Amino acid sequence: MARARSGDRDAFGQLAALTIGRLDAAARLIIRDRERARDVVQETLVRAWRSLPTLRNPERFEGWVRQLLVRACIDELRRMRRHVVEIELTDLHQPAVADSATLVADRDALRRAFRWLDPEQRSLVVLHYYLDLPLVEAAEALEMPVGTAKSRLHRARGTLRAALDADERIDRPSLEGRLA
Amino acid sequence: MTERDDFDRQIVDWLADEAGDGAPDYIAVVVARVDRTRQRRAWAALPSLVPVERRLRGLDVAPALLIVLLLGLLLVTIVAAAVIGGTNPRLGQIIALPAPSQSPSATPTESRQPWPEEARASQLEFHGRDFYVVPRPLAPAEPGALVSVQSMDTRSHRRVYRILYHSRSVSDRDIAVSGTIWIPASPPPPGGYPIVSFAMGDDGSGDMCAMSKTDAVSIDTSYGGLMSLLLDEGYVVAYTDYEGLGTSDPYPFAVLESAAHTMLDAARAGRELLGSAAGNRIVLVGDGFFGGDAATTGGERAADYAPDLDVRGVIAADGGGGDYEAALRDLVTAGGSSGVSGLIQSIAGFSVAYPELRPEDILTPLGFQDIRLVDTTCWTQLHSLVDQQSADDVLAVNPLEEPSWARRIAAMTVTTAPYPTLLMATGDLEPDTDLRGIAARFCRGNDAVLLHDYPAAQVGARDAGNDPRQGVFVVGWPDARQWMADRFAGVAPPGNCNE
Repeated sequence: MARARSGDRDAFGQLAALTIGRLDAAARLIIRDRERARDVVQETLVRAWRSLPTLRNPERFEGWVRQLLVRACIDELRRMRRHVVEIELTDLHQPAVADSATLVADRDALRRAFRWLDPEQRSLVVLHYYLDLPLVEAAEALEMPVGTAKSRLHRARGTLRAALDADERIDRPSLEGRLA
Repeated sequence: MTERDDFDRQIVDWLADEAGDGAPDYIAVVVARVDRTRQRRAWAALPSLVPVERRLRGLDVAPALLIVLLLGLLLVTIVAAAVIGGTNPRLGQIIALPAPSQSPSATPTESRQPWPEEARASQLEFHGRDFYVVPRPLAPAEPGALVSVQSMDTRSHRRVYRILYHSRSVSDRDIAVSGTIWIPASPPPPGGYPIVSFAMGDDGSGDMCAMSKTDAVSIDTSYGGLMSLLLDEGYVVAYTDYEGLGTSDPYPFAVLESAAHTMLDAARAGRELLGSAAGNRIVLVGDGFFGGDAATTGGERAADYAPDLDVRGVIAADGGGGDYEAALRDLVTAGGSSGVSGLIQSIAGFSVAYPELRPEDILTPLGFQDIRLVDTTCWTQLHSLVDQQSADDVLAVNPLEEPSWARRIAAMTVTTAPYPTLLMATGDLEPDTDLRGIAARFCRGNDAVLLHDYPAAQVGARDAGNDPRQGVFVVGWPDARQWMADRFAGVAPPGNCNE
């Protein structure tokens, strides 16, 4: 870290290599677009490099980069405006073990419901449930009070839960007889 | 929230599953960018400035003098930036990530073959001040002939070209229309790239709403996901702005024949740009109100209007009935701003194409006031401006009960679907997009009409607050992808007319 702060690019490369995997996954989950997520992560890491000497507490590097990333993801989502077609993550991962149709349907429902969440809610869900951050740290990354983070995460969770419930109720209409 | 229950664990599992465990492959790109980027000095951080300020104070420099010096420095910087930027118009645009194999603006080198479109793009490269001002007089040319071309820098480094091309108005006048051509990274297959001609859903009638006017950042987000998927399939995408949307000509919104011409001619323009690298096989894809209708109208008119194109099929998503009588009836009765904004836009559009149709004959004073907003707003703004109005507030006469209007509107109705057609419905989200009745109409005389319904798109789009017409591509892409591939491959088209 000290070498990176003093301008050693190789040292920063090693730091970046250690964090890029989780940053990329988090960005992909929040933005739901592999290309844009890649752009955001690249920009975030370059920005981190540029501003690294100004980081007063080097021990906070990971949290600091995470904060930069989340803000960048939220900005990116807002830029997407209403025109965005959010294409699902490509190469969706097949479950490692054979799954029941119900679980597959649940995943689809969660995937759809996730798109309903606003950028902050998406970020909170990913920070808390994927990066396993306590609420305090998730709130810090989003620069919001813990109480606000808690209520927003609660609402996001409720939305996801409602999606699953709704999906179970949806009776996909059959085409039979429709065109007769 | 500290203790996790089963549902929390389900979310955790789902996120882990979605994220996968593959390592990103672009660390080298990051390192290369870092190599070219200087670090800020530690004292650049705000707290570190304090001692610097104190030191300056210690120098006994008068604060006013210091401010004057700083302002002078700022002025010099601005002048220098203006001079340098003025000589290089690309400065100030988004700095593209290095991807020389993809970037259309990269300097050709010996290490790669020229792209097939480069020669024509270079010949027709636009050098004037405003790309969208239609040359007067417009030198006559065949529909689809290119007028000018401009490479667009996109953040994703796709090869995207802004084009101005010839088309025909409903009165058979030679017109120039803007749009974009998107070219896949993959090399052209034998016979040339297949072409998807795409028509977007209504985004408003102001010139700034034209897709090709979207800036370098947002162009990747304006239907960007769909474009990306189409390019990955190896298709060239011809994406019309529609007649007059963007250019100095007026925009005949809702006039389907005009939109169909611009779609078909955009495909021709793509062929001219790419030469032998593009084939003549095309699929027309339209989205939502107006876009879907443009596609089905294009299908109906293609044999007469563009016999040089080998139309393999038509996809209409969340719209495409080509029945403006029904659409207007819904707009009139829908209530709320959605109906009023579409209604006002349509009335303005009809009057552009058919001068005998005068908005003042059918609008109330309030409606006439609204129609003046149409040319200066995009959909969201117009929608919010007429939020509290109803059709009764703006219509003095129902256009469907006014013979001159009703005749023109009825004449636009698409009655046949000569090509294989895929209708992608979103349940009953919008009353004017009941594709079931439309499918039944198209099925008369064509068994290759396939209706897929995606109720999940309806639920998701509504709750997302996004334009609901776009959700259908998210959930329907696997079907649309296979359907297109089969049409281009000449596989016998499916249909569910008899189900």
